[in-house]
Amino acid sequence: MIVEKLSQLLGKENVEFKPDILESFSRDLSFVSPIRPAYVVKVKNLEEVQNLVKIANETQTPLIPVSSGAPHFRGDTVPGTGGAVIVDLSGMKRVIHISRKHRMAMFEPGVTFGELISAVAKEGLRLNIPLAPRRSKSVLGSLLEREPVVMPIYHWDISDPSGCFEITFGNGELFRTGAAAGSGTIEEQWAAGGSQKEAAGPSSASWYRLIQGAQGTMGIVTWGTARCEILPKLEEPYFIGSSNLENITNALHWLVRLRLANECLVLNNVDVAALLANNGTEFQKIKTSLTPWILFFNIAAYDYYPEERIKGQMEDMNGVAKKIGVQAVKTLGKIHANEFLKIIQQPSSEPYWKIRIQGACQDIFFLTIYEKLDELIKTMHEEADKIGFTTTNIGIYLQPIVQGVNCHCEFNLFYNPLNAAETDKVKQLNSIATRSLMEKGAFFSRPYGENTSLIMNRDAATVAALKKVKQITDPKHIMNPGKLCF
Amino acid sequence: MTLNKEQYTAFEDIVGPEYISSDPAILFSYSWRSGLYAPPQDFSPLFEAIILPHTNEEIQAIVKLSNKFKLQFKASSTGWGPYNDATAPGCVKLDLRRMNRIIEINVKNMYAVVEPGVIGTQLQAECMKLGLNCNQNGAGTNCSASPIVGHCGFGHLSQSGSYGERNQLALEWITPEGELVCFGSLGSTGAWFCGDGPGPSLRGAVRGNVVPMGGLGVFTKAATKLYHWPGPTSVELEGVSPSYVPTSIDNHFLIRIYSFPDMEMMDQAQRKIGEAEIAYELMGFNKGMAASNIATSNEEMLKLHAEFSNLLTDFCLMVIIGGYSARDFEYKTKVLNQIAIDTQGKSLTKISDDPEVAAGCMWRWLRPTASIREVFRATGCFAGEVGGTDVFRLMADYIVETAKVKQKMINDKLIFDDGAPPFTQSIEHGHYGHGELLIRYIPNPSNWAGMMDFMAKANEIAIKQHFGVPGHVFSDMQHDIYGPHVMNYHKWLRKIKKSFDPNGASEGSHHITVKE
Repeated sequence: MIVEKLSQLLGKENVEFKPDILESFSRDLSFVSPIRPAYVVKVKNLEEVQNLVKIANETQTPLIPVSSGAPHFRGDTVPGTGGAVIVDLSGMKRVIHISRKHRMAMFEPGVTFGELISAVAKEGLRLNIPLAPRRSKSVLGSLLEREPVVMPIYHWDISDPSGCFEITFGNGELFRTGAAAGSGTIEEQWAAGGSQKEAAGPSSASWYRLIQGAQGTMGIVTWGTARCEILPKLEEPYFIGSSNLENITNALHWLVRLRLANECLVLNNVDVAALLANNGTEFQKIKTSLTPWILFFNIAAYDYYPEERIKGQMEDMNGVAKKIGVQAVKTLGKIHANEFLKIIQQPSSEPYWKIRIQGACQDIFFLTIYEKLDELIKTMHEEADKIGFTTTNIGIYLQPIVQGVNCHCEFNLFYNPLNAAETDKVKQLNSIATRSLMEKGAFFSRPYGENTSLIMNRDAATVAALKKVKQITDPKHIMNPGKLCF
Repeated sequence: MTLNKEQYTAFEDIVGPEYISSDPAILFSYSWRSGLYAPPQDFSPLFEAIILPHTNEEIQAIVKLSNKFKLQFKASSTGWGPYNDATAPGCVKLDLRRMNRIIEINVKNMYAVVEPGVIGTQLQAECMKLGLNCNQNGAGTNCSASPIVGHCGFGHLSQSGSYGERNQLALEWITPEGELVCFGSLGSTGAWFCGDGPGPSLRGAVRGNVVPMGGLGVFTKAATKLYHWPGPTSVELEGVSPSYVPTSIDNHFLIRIYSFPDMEMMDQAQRKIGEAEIAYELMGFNKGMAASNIATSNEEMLKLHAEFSNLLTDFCLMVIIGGYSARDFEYKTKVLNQIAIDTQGKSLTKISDDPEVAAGCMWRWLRPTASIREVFRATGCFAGEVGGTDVFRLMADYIVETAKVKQKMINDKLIFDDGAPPFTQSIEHGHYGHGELLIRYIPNPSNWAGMMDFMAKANEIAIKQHFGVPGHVFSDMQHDIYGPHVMNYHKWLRKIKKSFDPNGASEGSHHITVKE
């Protein structure tokens, strides 16, 4: 019996099979069909993870690594098959190492944004974080999912701010990616002056790229490193409000291209209201007080002549704005840019902003380029109209990533999960809009949930190649089977 | 072994008689080994034929035929190093020089799409017309502009323009079995802006901080990130190489070489410049490279080297500031001056006081063509040690350690005496670093044996002192030396090779082979 083996390995108290616990892992806020796991196990260290993977290989037991706490949104941690074991890594909470000199941090999967932000801040560093992540979100989980982050000038590559990972592959073998591979132990590398910062390699493969975006299908990551940035000495945040999206993206382009802004993102009035409001009344009030599009950006300065740098960059920014025909302001409606900056430099307050007002939210997100945005937003609205979902209630988040080479476009469909008709509309819209957006050129680089097959099937050659990689790392397919194309 | 008539005709049917040859004169010209890592022998083994394909379809057909005929193939674009060579009979060369189109330059989203035959200088010139720039391989803009076909892809511009592994976007890959795989957005939508997904990124299978060097199929098109270019759209040059200067370079640029009292101060300066985000270029430089670059002849180089030996320590940084406005330039210059004071950096007056020398150097380091002067000056031939990538100081320390071995070769009079100081690269405003050690020599059996001994010692230092896997590590032999100390990565790399190239058709002597 596997339960005996698990109890022997992890201790009885760390093997959970109470119905309510199993039920909580059988579903999430996505539309993925619920499947109840057989057990939920809590692991504490690498050794336990390695032994667990060994047992899973011997018994052909599916393993589903989960680092973040509830609520989950995308179906990737819902078992794709029966008899699965949820591997709960949220108790692995060590911040292993922080280096101010090398601007990096190393931490375990259970470390959340709130915890790591305060730990690195003590060393004068900061993280490049996603937009107001939920309190329970694992930093490592976010890195592994290639989540977009809010400071595009420090997002050089789509994998950023990831560094190295320690992973037990599905076949049970331990590997450390990038510079962490060695030679030597991590401690020996530190003593030599190394910092496990270079993610690529060793040699002519970059294993971290094959682990990211895999939704736990390659193995179990037990620590990771992230590159950090230094804390600014001065910051001056601004808004640009407009009803003209082209003006907004022109401003975005130049702010990122000239490295004028740290935090830099675009939201529509719905998403700004969702981020700030505590209740439905506030939400409506804020929403109606704002322009359709809000570009938020933050000019920052560091150790050398910070006042001079801020002043100069503000002049340059105003020059850019003038040329485009927009104006940067400190206050929009009743929102002050400094307050907004504080909100997006931390995890979301509770309840999480995406579920605070209505109780549930379905995200549709993809990558594109600026020139396609208009058409894709129009497509989304057309599909919403067809279903009867009110377009003025769709949140839109545009995040330049990879230093403005890509644009993450996210539609947030806020809804009341207790209203069956509304829930059904969102479910339908999620499916038909995804298909229509793909037809118009949206690139769903991170497919989750019930649309995964639709997305993966577009690229049969990539699927065939990925299956070869999977065969190397997890030949018995014990890692999160049923996800992506595996 | 030479191709039999059936084989030759089959390849000829694909590309036409004009674009295939097994004429000995052609084969020998492709196997002449000079420049980088030139051995005492003048020629490497001959290819069976040289084929110049023009399209994906032609390459796919050639690759499939190679598998069928149990031949190997090796593709190259500009062919700098010995890793472009055949290592044994039974291999055909795919010279990709006819695939030389710039497919797209997207200004607003700042990326370009190129075929492998486009060289860096061509793409850079077109980008500059649009106010943009692209990273360049440190070996020079004579190398391919594709981010996946250079060896490492680090270069002078990496401080503000990163490097190949991180500039790569969508990619077209013809696998060693002849299948076409389009990475990222290209496979799903036909657009080039992203190279990752859906799901895990296949970029991880086809390159690390170095590329597979012809050992894993053919990369036929690639998109690369572009960056803001704060200079003019074109530049007039006055004079003829080697004595030329740009006459119209924008006045928002400044170049300096700073000498520091020790490694600690140089390291501090590198970090402060990086954190202040002021440098367009930042490299750990040395007197030998400076002398070679400024000089217009070997005699002048020797004179300058002697002069610089009295002025420069072994710990120098080359910095270029590029301001996108007068205000930006003024601020960055002020910060640079303060950092130099804080870290006891002394500026080389030959650069700071002579506008013609400064302008010439600046142009060679911005384009960049500087490496050509540095590596070929003196002996016409060079080798060295190519470190890995992690943080700047670690890589600099590695080079300092291997430089001790180089010094012994200098003492034994095996190589040109240009001292043995580090040559390092700061990347992404100081987040990462890379280091190399230049060795200039005239090939003969004794110094070649010395060179092999040097490489063995450099490997030993990297492994025992935990400096990571250097970029010069390629081939089964070297991977098998490093792998057991580095998470057995060689076994994983070999698994990738076997999975995608079960017949070993893509000549992998400089990558890894499918041997057990």
